[in-house]
Amino acid sequence: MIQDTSSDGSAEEDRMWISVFQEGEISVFGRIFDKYKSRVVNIAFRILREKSAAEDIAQDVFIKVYEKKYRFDPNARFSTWLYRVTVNASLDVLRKKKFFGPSLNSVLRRGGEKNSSPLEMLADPAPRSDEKMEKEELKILLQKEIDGLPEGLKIPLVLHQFEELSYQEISRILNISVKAVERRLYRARMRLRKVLRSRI
Amino acid sequence: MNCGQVQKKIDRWIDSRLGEAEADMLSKHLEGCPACAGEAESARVLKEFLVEGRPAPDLSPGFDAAFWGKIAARERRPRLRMLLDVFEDLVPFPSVPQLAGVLVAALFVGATGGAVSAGIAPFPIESKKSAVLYLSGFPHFKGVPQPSLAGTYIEAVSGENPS
Repeated sequence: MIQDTSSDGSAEEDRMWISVFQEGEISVFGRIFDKYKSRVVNIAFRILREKSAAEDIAQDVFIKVYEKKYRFDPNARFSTWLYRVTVNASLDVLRKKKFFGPSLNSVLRRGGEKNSSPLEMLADPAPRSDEKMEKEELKILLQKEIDGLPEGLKIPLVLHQFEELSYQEISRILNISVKAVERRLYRARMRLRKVLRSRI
Repeated sequence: MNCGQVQKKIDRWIDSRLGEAEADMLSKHLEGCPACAGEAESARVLKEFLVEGRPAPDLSPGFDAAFWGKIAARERRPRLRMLLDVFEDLVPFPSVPQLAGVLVAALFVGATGGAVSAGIAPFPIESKKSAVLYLSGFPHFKGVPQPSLAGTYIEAVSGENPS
């Protein structure tokens, strides 16, 4: 289970670790890495929908944490900063992919990844009932719709619905008001429900 | 409760985050409104999908090893490179808008007319003249009123009265 990293207790622990790390105690960095690695990979995965790309992004983010430790203000909330860097790095890759198209490597890698292609899911040879098939198709449709959401709607949805971050944490990560987070979540859900209504 | 109010509260109702009285009112409305009932059903299915989608793939077995390998490789960088990186950490890096502002100012400010006038100005460059005078194509910046910000600026950098 991923640890809740938005609580004050967790923030206090991070503050202490970051201060010690900035003073030169490198071993503390291992604890920071272990605490947040899954969450960082998950956030990147929700945006990029490719596990290997998400893991690459996560490693780059932690390298940045390791090398740029002096840039971080230990009094600020570390998790917010970390998730913000992760979201921005993931969006950079996503935008490049949209601009340049998928690289050959990513196309080749995708062949070995689970749940990365709707066609792979549909092509599963295991016999399924009609109801299960319809549910799978609906999942594929919804995931495609989420992938097609504008960034401004997709990121709050991903962070709240999949990563279970609070409105406050999302507002800090994206540097927008809590009301703006609520509005964007509402609009994202409305769009997805519209798709569902056409199928139900 | 009308349909507009129901639409806004459906997500909270699905999440059982509405008060008892509000939840009752909403339920009663759904019994008599097929459109809102359809909306509630799609909200329920959406929530089910989003909850089911929560578990993300596990980390690859070699994830940790790959990461620490990258850290070790960076530790083996030449000392000079590491020192430069540390220095970069300590010196605040200007934001892109700040950098752009400085570059634009550099083009137009300066006793000798700035970088732009040196390269592209079609008019003879005289010393201590503002690049604005040359880029505008006029020997005097006509039409700029003396007691104006632009006029004050031109007078300050070029020593000339723009009017």
